Amino acid sequence: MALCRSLFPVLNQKKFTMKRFIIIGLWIILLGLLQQVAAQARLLTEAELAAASIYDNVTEALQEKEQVYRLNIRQQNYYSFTPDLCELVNLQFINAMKNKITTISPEVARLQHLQEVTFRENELVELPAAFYELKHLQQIDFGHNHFTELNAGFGKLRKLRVLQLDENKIRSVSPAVKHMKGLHALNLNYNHLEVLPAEIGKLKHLQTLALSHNHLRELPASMANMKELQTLALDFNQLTALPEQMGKLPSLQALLLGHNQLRTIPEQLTKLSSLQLLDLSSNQLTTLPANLQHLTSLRTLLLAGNNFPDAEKERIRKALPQAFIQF
Amino acid sequence: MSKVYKSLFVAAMVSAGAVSTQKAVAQSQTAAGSGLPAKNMIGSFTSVRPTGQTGTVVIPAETHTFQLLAKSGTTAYTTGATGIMPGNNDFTAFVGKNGSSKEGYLAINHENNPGGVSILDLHLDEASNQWVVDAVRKVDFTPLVKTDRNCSGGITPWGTVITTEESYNTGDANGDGYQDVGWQVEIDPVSGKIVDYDGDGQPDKLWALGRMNHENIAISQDRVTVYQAEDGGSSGVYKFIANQPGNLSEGTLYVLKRSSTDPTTGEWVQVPNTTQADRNNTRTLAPAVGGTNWSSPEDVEFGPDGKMYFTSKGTGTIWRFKDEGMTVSEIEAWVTRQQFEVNYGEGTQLEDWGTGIDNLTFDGEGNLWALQDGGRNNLWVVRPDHTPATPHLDLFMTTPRGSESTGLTFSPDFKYGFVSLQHPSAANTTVVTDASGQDVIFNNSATIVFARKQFLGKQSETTAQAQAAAQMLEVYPNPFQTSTKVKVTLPAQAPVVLEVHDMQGNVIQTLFNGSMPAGAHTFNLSPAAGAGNAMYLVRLQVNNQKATTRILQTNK
Repeated sequence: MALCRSLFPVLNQKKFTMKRFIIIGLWIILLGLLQQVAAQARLLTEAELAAASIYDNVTEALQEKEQVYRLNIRQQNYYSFTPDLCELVNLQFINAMKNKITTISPEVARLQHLQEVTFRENELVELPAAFYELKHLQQIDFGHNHFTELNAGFGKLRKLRVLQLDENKIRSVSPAVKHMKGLHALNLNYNHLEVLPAEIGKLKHLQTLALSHNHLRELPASMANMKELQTLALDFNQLTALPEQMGKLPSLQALLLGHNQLRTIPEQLTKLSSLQLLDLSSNQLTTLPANLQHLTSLRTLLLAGNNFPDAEKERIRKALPQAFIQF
Repeated sequence: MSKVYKSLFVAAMVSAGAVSTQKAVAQSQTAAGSGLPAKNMIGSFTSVRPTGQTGTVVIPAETHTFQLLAKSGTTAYTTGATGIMPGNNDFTAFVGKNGSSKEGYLAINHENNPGGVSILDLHLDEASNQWVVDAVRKVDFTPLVKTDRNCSGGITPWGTVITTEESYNTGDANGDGYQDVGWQVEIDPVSGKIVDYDGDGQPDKLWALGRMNHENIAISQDRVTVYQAEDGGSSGVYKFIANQPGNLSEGTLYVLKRSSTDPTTGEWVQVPNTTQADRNNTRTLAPAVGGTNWSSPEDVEFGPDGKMYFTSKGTGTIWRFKDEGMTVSEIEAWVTRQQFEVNYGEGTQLEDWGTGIDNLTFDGEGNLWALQDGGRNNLWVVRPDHTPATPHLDLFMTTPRGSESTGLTFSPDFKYGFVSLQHPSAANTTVVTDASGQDVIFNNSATIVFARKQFLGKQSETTAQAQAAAQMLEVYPNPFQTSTKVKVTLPAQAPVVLEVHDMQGNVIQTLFNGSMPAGAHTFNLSPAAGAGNAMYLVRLQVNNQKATTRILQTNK
């Protein structure tokens, strides 16, 4: 108390009131926050970060908190990402894969410098709201966990470039996905998706969209707005038809549609001028679009496991003399 | 040995990572076939007892010893990079200088994200029979963005090392059209540089070999034929024929399709791999063209009998087949999951082969060393006369708690084996003395060299004794708060001294000093609690054998 009185002489005054006490309390909180901010050094550049030591011993890391920019606790039997780990406020990179982590502490909000996290092969079902406030995040790997949705919170991560959520139990994708304006790669392979929100088409910079091994029955026409999309993986789904608008993907190089229930392919797909690889194996096709020869970039066409008559096979071969075709 | 057999043997040795040059092959053939007595062969040993994991590495103490070469969190880079070697040591690739077995480079994979490769320049000091690490270097992968989860790999006949990325994560950070990770990457161990195939000054990954969850790679002595497998995903077994010998940047890729009518046969089906789109999507293309799913195959290796061997981690099966060019024959499940009888000298015990057989390597005698990630994480040796009907296996190593052994390769003369112990428990406290006389605790990833005792260290007798003593001593719980139990198990009556020391070397308690009968004896230990955590050493001396275990008393 003596120390408090020396720091805050007001405590010695008779006019000390509860109101003042509250003001002092707020100052103390503010000082604490300032101290926390001061503890956070500036973000390291990519080169500086690459040169920074990777700490894989938490005890050592906690003894040298301010020097810890990269933490590797891979396969160390963690059951939770604990509050003490969140004292490493300068962290820009975490690799926590192959643990048994079921929860991430809300104190993760302190890790405001985080750019890349890997929690692959853990037991996560959900994330604390505070996680979605980590504004510098660029790469997230939550593959092989137990998530059941692509949460709306991810929409707050405007700098996110890569999101790996494969091998989960995801049944729904929040429309807020549209806010991830910086997203380049979204991996949702091996989930339980049956539909996609139309808002996914707002991901204008998306280059890779991986949706293999889901239960998709249809696709939103808005996907045609993803003008930078290069790879679209839709194999092992339940698709019976494709939207005509898919022909409007000028950058698309690889379209994987094997193991679906497709009976026809829209003529508009022949407008995919960049398409190099088209996998249509194991569907129920008997014919392909008339203007196949317009697919001038196509080099690989996989058609095994369909029902093409011989005449149609011959027509396809003649239309695409430059392509490797497998019936 | 016929000409055909010799060429196959050469291919096998190169693939196994045992040798990297013709000259080295000649040496190894001389060594392997010169009628040396078994006591000089690395594969000659009596099994260790199948105990499951303990606090340390246990290898046949009467015949073999080991030396620690590098440990994550401790070993520092000395040349061209600063900092400490990262964790998760995996594949080791010993490349001898001019085929030497005594001087060369040891590349060590790090199965992390980001991944990495460290290279040790090392030589055998023949005066002391110890390996000396002259430099520790770090391969710079930033020109290719990064590598991810560098798992196993292979050594080429032209003396380079290929590190494999066991990752299928998406992303093209540098916008070159290729996904950043999921490839084979070739490194020159001398320069530590990634190979630049097209000569444009920019290194390349081996794009034509395809993108998948790569496990390892086996390169034939013909310099064009390559085998690889995918752990997960397509779970395919692949073959690649390079367009030019010694250049794996272009070639034709195939996947193995097993016959549905005659399962002992199969065919190689071409997998398109000419465009970036093809190469980025190999995992999808292979099953689409008919590739068989082998349930997470891992290592593929050339066998000394001319057959290809590969392991299926999901089922615990080691398969083998004969490659006939565009077809294969004699597909056979050579080792399958069952209880195998292990003879450890003092008795026999059934041990479950389990699943998770991961890395495979043949030695010069035709023994197949099988490293397990799963089950009890054993390091097995399948003997050359093993058949499914008449099994013959031995157990070379039980591993430290929490770890798996990874990435075994041999020196060209097969005297030395290099192996990593990946992610042992940080709580391991058992101290053992290695062949160089240093105390070793396996509480972080490490890479060791092992050999028969006559080829490694002058302290080998001490090491063997320490290992034997270490198996007699157990402390639990550890860490502890107020008290713990010290258990000593003796096979026969012997003079015993059991003391507890503080970290300054002072004896704080003598638990036993005298003649101890055979059997298990448990002592309570309750040191006075201090203000903070306190570390102690429990030291056991049985006859002339000594063992030390570090214990921790916590204040909360």
